[in-house]
Amino acid sequence: MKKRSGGNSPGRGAVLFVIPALAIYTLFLVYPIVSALAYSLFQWNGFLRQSFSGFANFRRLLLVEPFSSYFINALKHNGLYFLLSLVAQNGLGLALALMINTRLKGAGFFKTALFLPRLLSVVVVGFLWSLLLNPSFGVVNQILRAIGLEALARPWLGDTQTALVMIILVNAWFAVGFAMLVYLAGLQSIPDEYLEAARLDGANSLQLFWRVILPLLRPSLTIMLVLTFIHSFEAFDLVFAMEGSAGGPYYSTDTLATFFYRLAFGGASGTELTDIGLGSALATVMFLIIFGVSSLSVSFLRRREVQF
Amino acid sequence: MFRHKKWFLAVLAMVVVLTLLVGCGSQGTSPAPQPPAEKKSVHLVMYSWRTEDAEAWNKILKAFESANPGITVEFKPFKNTEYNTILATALQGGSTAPDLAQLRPYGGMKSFASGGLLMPLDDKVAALKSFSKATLDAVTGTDGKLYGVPLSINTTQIFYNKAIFEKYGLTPPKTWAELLKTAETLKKNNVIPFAQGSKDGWTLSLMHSILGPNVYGGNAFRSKILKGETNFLDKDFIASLDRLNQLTPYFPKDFTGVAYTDTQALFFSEKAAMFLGGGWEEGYFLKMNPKLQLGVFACPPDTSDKPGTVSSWVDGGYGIYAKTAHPQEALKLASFLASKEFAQMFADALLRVPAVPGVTPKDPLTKAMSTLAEKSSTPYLMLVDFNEGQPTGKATLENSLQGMFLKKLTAAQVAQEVQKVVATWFKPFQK
Amino acid sequence: MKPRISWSTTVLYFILSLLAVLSLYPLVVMVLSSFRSTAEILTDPLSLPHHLDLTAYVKIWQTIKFGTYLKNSLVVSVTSVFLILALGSMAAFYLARYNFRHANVLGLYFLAGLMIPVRLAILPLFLLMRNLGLLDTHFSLILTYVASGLPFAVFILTGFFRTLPRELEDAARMDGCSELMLYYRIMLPLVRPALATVGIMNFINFWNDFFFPLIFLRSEALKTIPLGMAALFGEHETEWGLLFAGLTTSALPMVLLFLLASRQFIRGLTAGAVKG
Repeated sequence: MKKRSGGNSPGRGAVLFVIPALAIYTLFLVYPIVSALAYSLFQWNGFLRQSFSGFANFRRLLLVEPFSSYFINALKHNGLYFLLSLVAQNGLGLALALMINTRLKGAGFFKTALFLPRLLSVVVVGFLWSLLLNPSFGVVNQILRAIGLEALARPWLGDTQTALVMIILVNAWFAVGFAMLVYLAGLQSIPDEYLEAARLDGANSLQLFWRVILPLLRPSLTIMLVLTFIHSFEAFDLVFAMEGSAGGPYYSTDTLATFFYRLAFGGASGTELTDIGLGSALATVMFLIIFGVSSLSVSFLRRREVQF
Repeated sequence: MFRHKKWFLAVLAMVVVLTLLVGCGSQGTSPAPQPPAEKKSVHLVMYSWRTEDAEAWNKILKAFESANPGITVEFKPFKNTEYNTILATALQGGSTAPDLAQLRPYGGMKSFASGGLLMPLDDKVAALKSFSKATLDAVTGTDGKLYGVPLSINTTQIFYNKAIFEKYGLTPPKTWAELLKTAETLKKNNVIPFAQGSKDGWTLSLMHSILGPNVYGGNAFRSKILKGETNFLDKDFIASLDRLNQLTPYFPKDFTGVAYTDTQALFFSEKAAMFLGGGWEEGYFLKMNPKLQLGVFACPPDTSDKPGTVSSWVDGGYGIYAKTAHPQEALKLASFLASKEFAQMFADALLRVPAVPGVTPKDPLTKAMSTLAEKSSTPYLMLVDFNEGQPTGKATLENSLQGMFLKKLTAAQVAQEVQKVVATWFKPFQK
Repeated sequence: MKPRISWSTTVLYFILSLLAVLSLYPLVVMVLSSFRSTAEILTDPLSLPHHLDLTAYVKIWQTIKFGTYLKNSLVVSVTSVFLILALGSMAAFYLARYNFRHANVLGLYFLAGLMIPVRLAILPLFLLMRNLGLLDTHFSLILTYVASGLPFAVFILTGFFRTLPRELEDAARMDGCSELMLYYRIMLPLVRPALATVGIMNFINFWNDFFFPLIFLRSEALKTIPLGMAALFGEHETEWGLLFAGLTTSALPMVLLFLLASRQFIRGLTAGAVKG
């Protein structure tokens, strides 16, 4: 954030504008997260706090088997989640925005249709797609069979090769409408004169896109990049709805958040012991990753933005 | 200068207030809404993870209420997969905590008990003395005290469709080889022999509890492993895991993506002839397809000279919240849950084998299952003894078996993964 | 030149229609499934329903307290969104229009909330609610939602307030407008599109949230729709027909709202999302 020149000094009572928001935000978001981070420094027996243990929980999480390999495995999946979401959700979202921005007829219908999935709860999305991806009666395999691609039909959610990719694609299905609208907003705020000028200079469509449109879209790209990163590293609901908290099959869809859920609340079969200390250590690491990377990228990307 | 100091002070004041609020709250002085003292009837709340049993429970509890005027009971079921989260948080919550709660058996309830959240019932519920030690194991805390009234006994066996068996001239097999032959016959006739899938991990350790005991040697193996005289790398145990591989040719196509609910549907819609499952399935199968002709048999051993061994375990029990406002009434209800009167109603309404000893279920199939368990049974090893630690031996087995079905691991490697994880907490392996 | 354009337009329409179908098809499956029995869903899930079976809907209204859940969902979502807009815009106004030391620090402090996964803090949050005596009340949900929604609101709205010309403010002050009047009468109406964006995105999230009601609420009379619907999932048995009817019914108010106001909805989103 850059320093504003000018601006008024706040009057006597002006601080009241910010106090309510600040109070609620501090008490019900900052304070709990700080406590959660502090939990990681203690040993826990069930839900009872025991002795202070320094960084023992972190050491266990990052260095001791089997936790360290679960952690690395989950971290890789979150990374893949982010990279694929960039392509599937943002790439497609941008492409859709470009298509719709050509001012074609029926744009309103397409915008509505493509945004509609975002209105559903993720639990519903998970159930619907589990049905559609079912190996025996799911419509995906039925279509593949109908068009002679039987060889491609597989148990999409029951195969370590495809399960995570499917979840990421389903998430893209869910969220692409939002990305599309954000990019559309960005596109519509680009003054026509810029495009005209570039065209007069003899730029073709591709050059227009790379040289003019993309740089001017930076604010939208920054927002979506950061939001996608945050969502990818928090990914939980859809994995939970489609593969359960174990992140199956054979850990192939395990994410940091499902791993955290198992540590904090026990597994879905309901019998695993909870380990609040270890869970909080994981929460702390997740927080550091998300917070660290997104603040860095915000400040980095912002600096290079074209100012309006 | 002055102004931003004010801002700073405001935040500081807020932090102080916040600390006070939280500080005094944690000593339990925060005002909770007081129930009117002279209210005549006492209202008990009991939590359960069996949403599907709510109707039957409400009927059963009516009987309790009419025998105990002045006590009303509310049966509150929650979604199974969320139950732990709910119970764990609710028991921290003081005023929101239930009076009684259904507890996960064995390892599941131990953390609640050792956290001091449950009331020991040893001397308070007399009927508990009539239960067998094996049954009471499910509700015994790490300190050896009893923290719950065991509810039902689950057995694991093979359900079969009598009509389909008749059609192809099949009878329940007596040996493992016959079972494979039966499956082969069904497959040739385009019937799915076994309605199984491996998408839901928990069904896999259950599958092993059905196919495994005959091979690894049931109770004899259990008593050795509990003393640390053997471990999961034992070749019989590995062979028992390999039994699952021998059946996969008879599972539905692409079974690695087939979920538990799909397998239930394959079986009750009579597309599949057999189902490896727990005793609780009966009620649901018959509800979905009342014309289904159900039979059960234990997984057959290699030779026909002895009966097949089924696995059995106590599927949870009811514990009392240590700080309940109505301990007397809660104990009355707990005693009722330990009574034969309750057990008979429970067995007949829900078609489950009750944990209370000496009760004969009216339903022939329920009775058949309890007979299988009487002939030869062993505790469900992974659930009863190795469902502790983080991650548990049971969860590790389930995830690794998924790996085995996906050809990522061999049976021996599955055993190694389980051994590695269990050795992190199981004392006899650490000697 | 002409034929090339129409050819590419055709391709464009083809691709968009394909994607629109892909987008809507699962929703159609959900609605159709609600007219089937559980057995039919599990055995023959993707054909058209054999006959229009409305029993699931009747049962939803009879056995599930859908009316109560609907009311609760409305109360919680609307109150939370209202508070976020009111408090968030006030804070954003303060951050954007006044010049004071540490404004950047305060701004970053709010921005940090955008990167906090609230769920990681569920245990302390639960204990806090317990200590405040707010468990099993709608306040616990509303406070959590407001706290978690504020960062996004402050982030977006601050950006918006900054774009407003300073002359406006000065003119109002000249006319003797109080700070509160300036905020409420002059500035707030000008950021309406951004308010719509923030309101809509939060409303969708709160309406569909399952996790916090699950942790905070116990009483049947207080449950929101997603939590109430969870009663339809059993441990080993699920009433699929009822479930889909429930899912359809719970999505319906949202979809209707969206279809009625989709123009404002999309305009608000597109206008607001980017100016941060």
